Amino acid sequence: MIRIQREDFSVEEFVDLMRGRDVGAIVTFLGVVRGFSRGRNVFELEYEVYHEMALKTLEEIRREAIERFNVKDVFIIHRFGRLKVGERIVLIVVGALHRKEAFEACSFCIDEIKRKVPIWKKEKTDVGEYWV
Amino acid sequence: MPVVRFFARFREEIGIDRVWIDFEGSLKEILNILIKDHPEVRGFVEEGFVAVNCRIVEDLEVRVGRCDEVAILPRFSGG
Repeated sequence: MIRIQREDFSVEEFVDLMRGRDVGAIVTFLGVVRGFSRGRNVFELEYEVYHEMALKTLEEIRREAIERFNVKDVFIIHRFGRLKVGERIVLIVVGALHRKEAFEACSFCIDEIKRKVPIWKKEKTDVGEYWV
Repeated sequence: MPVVRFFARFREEIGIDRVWIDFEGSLKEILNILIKDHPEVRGFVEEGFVAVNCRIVEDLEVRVGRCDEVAILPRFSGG
């Protein structure tokens, strides 16, 4: 499952969806908005997405993670729009037979998202706004 | 005709989010036409990525047809 959405999401909902007879480990990564960056106080992040390409790239990352680490499934949910400090940004949920491959697949997914997915953020800080 | 889209910082700097180019040819030719009207595009291409139909391309000789979409993309910062 891949989703790019403005709305908030429930971590528990997606963790519950991943449960199943053949899942012995569920690993999650939740990215949230931090209140400081490079010495500046951040009060909001604004995310912009190239939707068509981001959906395609996220699905490729999901499929590669499933194949490479032999996990049962991967969910990736990424928000866009304006997000305040503490709000949820991105959720990765990996379900697998065992924890080792679940951790590895989850780490792989967030690294690949940062490297390959056309999503950008603008930091709104106490000293101005910056695309990072 | 091909459309060229801009995102995030590049969109803000150039002041438009898309432009249609009345030309079909190589990506290099499309970019050169664009650079005549918007010289800042040269720096965007050097700094970021260029995608054709949602695929990042490095070969500027790739052909761009009338239904194709080119995107000029800053370095990504999602997650």
